[in-house]
Amino acid sequence: MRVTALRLDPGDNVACLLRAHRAGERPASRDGPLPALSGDVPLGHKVAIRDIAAGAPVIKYGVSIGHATRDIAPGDHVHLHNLAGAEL
Amino acid sequence: MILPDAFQGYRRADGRAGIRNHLLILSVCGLNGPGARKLAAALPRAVPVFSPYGRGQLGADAKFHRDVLVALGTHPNTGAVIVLAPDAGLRALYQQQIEDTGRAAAGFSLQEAGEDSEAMLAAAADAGRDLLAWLDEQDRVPCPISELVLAVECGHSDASSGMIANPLAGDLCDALIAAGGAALFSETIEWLGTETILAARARSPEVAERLRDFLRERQRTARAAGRDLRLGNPGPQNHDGGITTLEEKALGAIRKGGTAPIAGALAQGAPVPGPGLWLMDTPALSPESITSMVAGGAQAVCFTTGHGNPYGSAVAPTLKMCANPETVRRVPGQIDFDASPAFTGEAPRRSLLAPLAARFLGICEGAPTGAERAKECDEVISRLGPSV
Repeated sequence: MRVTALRLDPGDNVACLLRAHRAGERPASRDGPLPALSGDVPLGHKVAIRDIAAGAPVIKYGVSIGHATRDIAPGDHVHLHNLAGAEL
Repeated sequence: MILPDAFQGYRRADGRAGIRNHLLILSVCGLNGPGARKLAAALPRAVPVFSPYGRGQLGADAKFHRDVLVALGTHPNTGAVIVLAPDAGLRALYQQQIEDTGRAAAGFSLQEAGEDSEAMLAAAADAGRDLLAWLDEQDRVPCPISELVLAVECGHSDASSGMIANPLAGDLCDALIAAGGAALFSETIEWLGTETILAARARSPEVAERLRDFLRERQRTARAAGRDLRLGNPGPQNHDGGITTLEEKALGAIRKGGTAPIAGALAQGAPVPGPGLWLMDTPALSPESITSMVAGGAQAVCFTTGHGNPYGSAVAPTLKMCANPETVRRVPGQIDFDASPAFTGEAPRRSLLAPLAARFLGICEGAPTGAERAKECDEVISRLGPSV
């Protein structure tokens, strides 16, 4: 199976896409298919693989890269609209 | 073991182990630059290290300039040196420090040649040919792999860098450190956003405080010039590539150093004191950053790129790694290790570590890098202050 998404650390709650995906597709990770995408997502972007409640950390590389600014569902694109870094 | 216990290298009189047996043309002042370029053309196998400065420098800047030139002239990969200087004093200063390490050096100055550059260059070329013949007689001998110091750098990055190439470079650092060697990474402002993570990985509170100090000082310098390094960072190009936050961007960059505890935070160009993972305080421009780490003793560089990047260190062979298949197709001669199978999903990243380690070892034992073949190699010494 050719994988199309990468979870960089076992503790991550997001995966990165190795190619662009369309809404409804299920990216293939090494651990099996990921949740169906709620929208189109470009290459290199992140998708949620678990529920992430508003205020909860988004985990990539095994550490927090910021917090969810609204509830995020599995299969959602995770980017500027629902993720913010620490207050600078 | 991913890496063997030993590699075939050059054992220096001062005890250090090199992976190349360079004849360096060390041009220590801008006044010698034009002549140095002619000498390099006459001695195509010599490695050029040319400073465009060398006079009127003050304090820490003058010391750094001199220390880096001496560090490159006495580098483990350097077997012999031709020193070009404007006057007898500078010539003797550098030549003496190089000879003190048991390396062969021939020094020439415009002053001692009566300002006759042509005569000086003819004598330097003769000396250079003799030194090359002498170097050619030396053989590689087994050296412990634990004596290797690997510098890691990233440049012209894209989405594939943070996902594949940098973590894979980090795997190589982890493997070398597990074998008793050392690795280091730099580009201080790229640590922004990961201070807490880096501090937590520091071996002691002092190390954590020192790396925070380096970062604060760079931010202060930027602010004094009217720039806020956090503002607009990550930028629109990062956002298009899927990078959302500063923490995320920095994590992708620091991942190239692997996962080892941080043994220490070094001043720019300072010698790497021992095994383990080290940080070095440097500017973000790759040539300045790489030269600083090579001056610190790195014999090899692993340089990851996304869009491509022809640059290599002149003194330390620079293994270029890329995980973007389009780049690997476009500039195949530039890429020493193709990590794209992990990006296209054909192979897990971990499966690429053994072939990467084999490529790294081959380069350490003499296989030329793309940058060496293309002769797109240089050293760039940072300026730390103004001249008078």
